[in-house]
Amino acid sequence: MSHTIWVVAERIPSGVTRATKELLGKAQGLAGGDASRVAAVVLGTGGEALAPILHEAGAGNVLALEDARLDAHRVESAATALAALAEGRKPFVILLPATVNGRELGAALAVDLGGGVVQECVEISIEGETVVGRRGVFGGNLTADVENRSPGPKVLTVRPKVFPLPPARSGGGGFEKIAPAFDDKDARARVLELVSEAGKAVNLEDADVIVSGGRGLGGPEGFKILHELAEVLGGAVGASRAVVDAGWIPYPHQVGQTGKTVKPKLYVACGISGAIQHLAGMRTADTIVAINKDAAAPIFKVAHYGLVGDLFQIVPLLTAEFRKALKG
Amino acid sequence: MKAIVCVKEVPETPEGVRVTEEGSLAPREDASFLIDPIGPYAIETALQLRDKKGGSVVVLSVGSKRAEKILKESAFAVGADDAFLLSDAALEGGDPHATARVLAAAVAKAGGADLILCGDRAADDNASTVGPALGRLLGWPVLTSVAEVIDFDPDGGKIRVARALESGREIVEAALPAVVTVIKGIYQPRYPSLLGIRKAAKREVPVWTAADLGLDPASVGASGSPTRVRKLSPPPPPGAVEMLSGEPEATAAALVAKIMDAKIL
Repeated sequence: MSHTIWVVAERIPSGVTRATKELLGKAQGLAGGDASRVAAVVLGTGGEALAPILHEAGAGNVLALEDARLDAHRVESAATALAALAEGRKPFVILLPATVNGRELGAALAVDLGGGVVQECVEISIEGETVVGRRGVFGGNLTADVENRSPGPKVLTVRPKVFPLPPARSGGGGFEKIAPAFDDKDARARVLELVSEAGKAVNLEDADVIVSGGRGLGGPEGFKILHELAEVLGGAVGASRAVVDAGWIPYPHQVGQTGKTVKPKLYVACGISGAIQHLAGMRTADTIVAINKDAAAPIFKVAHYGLVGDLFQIVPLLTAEFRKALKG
Repeated sequence: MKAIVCVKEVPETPEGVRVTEEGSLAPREDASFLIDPIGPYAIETALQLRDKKGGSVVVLSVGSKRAEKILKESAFAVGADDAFLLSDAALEGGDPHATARVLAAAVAKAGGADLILCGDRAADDNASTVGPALGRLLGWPVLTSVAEVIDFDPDGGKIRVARALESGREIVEAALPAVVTVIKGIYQPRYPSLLGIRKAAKREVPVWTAADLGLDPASVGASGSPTRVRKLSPPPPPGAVEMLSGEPEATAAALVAKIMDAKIL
């Protein structure tokens, strides 16, 4: 049986998101390297221009649901259009990036298809007719293997930055333009405006580097040296719940928010002792550096490198050393 | 104006959570259960809208009999008008989709609403699914990850919200009735008053079973769930930490050298 795997592309002004390409790479793996079994689905106008990017990332086919009404993504019309297409063509698996919009669309699409969604997978495996998604639960304290037993297409959302960017594939692929099926009852919500916060938005889940601070900073002004280190590393500034609760830094900076985990390449914990919720939220980082004056702090149990000492001395030194090292 | 809020009971995390060797969740007699931490934010949002527009707030929860406690302490005690517990052996073990079906039936039995509020993500399954699934089952607009209600106009049948996306704030307007899932920080939940707590203790929480809701038992609970948790596992044990000691200048340089050599950046 030749199962096809769809990836619903997530669009940005410059093309598609990195996560879309990661999913196409994973989809190709699940299809045994057979790109003819991988299709990218694009919603809205201008899909044809994206086809070469999607082919290169692993899609043997590009299906474009071309309609200007789908440009301002609202989940209702997108779900209806995708479900109608999927009911006709019966893909085995439909993957979406596990972003806010991707999770919303994944759940709605699964309902329309009479099945269920497995959200925020970090691994996917196909066992015969069953698809199993691995995901974090209880705020990352446990890992669950969840079977998607939906009778029709199995919908899963996949965390960005879990799978690598696929190598560029040559050979092009198919492109098909399809008029989507949906009606006005799906248009009862509309996007008025997107206030971009690029540059100033705190997006810990996407950050490659997070420099995070806790009570050891002594007060809100302590974050200054963390911002400096984060800037040199091109990273974001995080914080423990204790200091967010104390009002030293706003909530979006909190690591270990309910159910959220971060997965940067480098996590630098400064003056954070390591409450259990915090550890659950950040232990998924690839490399963890902990700086704390208390050698018995729980943070050192999950760290790869530990520095015991005064963070006000060490952090500026790290900033200077990294600045030197990264210049070369 | 009528708002319905959906909340759930969760075990205290992670202290109340254990996994057996076979990979299922171990029952722990002494685990404490509380309202999902996002629940009070959804309730508070409904109360704020009621304060401005009048009307009523109804709170629903799918769970065991034990969840009566959270409905008294977190719904009645802060001034919810009504609360119903959706509880039945047939409902046990349901995934988010089965739970959404139960809630959809309960919303109908409660006479519908202008607005349904849920938490964006629960502390136990972290699934972010019940809200959008419920909206889709009802055929209502779905607005997830809402950080602010900018305008709520039940008479005009409209709501305008700000959603927190990865790329910024998205302003969306939707026709009512609609389903909204809220994130923390939307409104600070109020504390119950002593009088509120005393009154709440005396109130009964009506229980609706699958039969009361007109639900086929096969369509809900474990048997009605399209997804199933096969196995739970604890996180892998941490590796050994490498401690760097000495003068701050030397340790900082040594750490940077190790990070650069490992090509982490």
